[in-house]
Amino acid sequence: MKLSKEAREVLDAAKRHNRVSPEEDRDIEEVVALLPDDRSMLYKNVDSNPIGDFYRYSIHIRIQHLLIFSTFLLLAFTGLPIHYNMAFWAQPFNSVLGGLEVTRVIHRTLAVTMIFAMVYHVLTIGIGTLVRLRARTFEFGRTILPRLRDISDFKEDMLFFSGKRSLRPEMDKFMYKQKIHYFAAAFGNTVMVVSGSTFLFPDFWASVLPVEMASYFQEMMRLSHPHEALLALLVVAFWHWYNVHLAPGRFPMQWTYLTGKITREHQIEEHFLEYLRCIVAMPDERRYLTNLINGKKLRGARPNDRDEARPAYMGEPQGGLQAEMPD
Amino acid sequence: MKTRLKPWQQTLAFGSLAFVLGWTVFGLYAIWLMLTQG
Repeated sequence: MKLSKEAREVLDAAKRHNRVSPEEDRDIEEVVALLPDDRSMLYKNVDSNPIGDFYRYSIHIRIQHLLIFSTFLLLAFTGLPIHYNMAFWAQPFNSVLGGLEVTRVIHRTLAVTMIFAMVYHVLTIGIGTLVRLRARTFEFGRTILPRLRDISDFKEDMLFFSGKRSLRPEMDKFMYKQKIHYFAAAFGNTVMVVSGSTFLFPDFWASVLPVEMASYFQEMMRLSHPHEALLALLVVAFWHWYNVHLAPGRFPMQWTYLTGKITREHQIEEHFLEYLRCIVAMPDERRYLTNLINGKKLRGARPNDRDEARPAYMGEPQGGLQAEMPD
Repeated sequence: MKTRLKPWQQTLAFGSLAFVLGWTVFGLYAIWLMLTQG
């Protein structure tokens, strides 16, 4: 495989960070040369353990996800009978918990736990970044921060899904979809915390805002809190859960949130640049790839882009699908 | 080729799936509440 400019930069950086010896360097380059240009041949043929093959998330990130999702679900579950406290089921629900005031206390306690998880998250990524900067192993491309490249990745992926391109783009540890989702969640959480705090501390907000704005702000936050909650519920139910439970390759569940690991198939398909780092850091993976490519004769498999000139050996299909069609 | 899940792993994975699908019903109910009661 001839690496793209971006992939070559990632590979070279990974070699520097792992301080590879000249022998390892030769080994890595030999394996990379073996990789088929048609990456789909690779991820369709590799062995994958649904529980996970490669390390992706630290225990801190997994704890934060656990805290965020459990508090999020319980906040929605207790927030609804607070907002719609006249609904036929809300009164018995609140009574079981000890009354509306108790439901409110539970809701606020959960909110504090969620804020703790957010602070924990900011500290984790902040300290992690500082450690990497100090060790000179920080790579902007590996972070979840948006880049211009995400726009071209999105465009190329849409071309792939509409059948106009045969390969998905080479994406890094976080792809465009995950970045949108992450910042949408960060924005949503911020709106919920700020709007929720205006219910708890109206005097504080009235004292820091200009007099003419204070009551409008309070009204706006009163509207924002339930609507943002509903938006978050929709995004989680119809977007996030589709991607981690129902999407082809993830069904019935993606295990990353529990094990912190991603499958080999998923890593190659959607995070190929991160997979290159695995090739550099893991000699076992290089041996596995060499055996797989030689064993299944994947070397030389080329993409069949409709928008690119077809190589001579890939002329019109002879036999193949046509031969299998019934008369 | 994918490694097959062990029975307990299948239970956990499908249990989690059932939970989120059930929760989606709750989400739909919340939408209905918001549309009808503001």
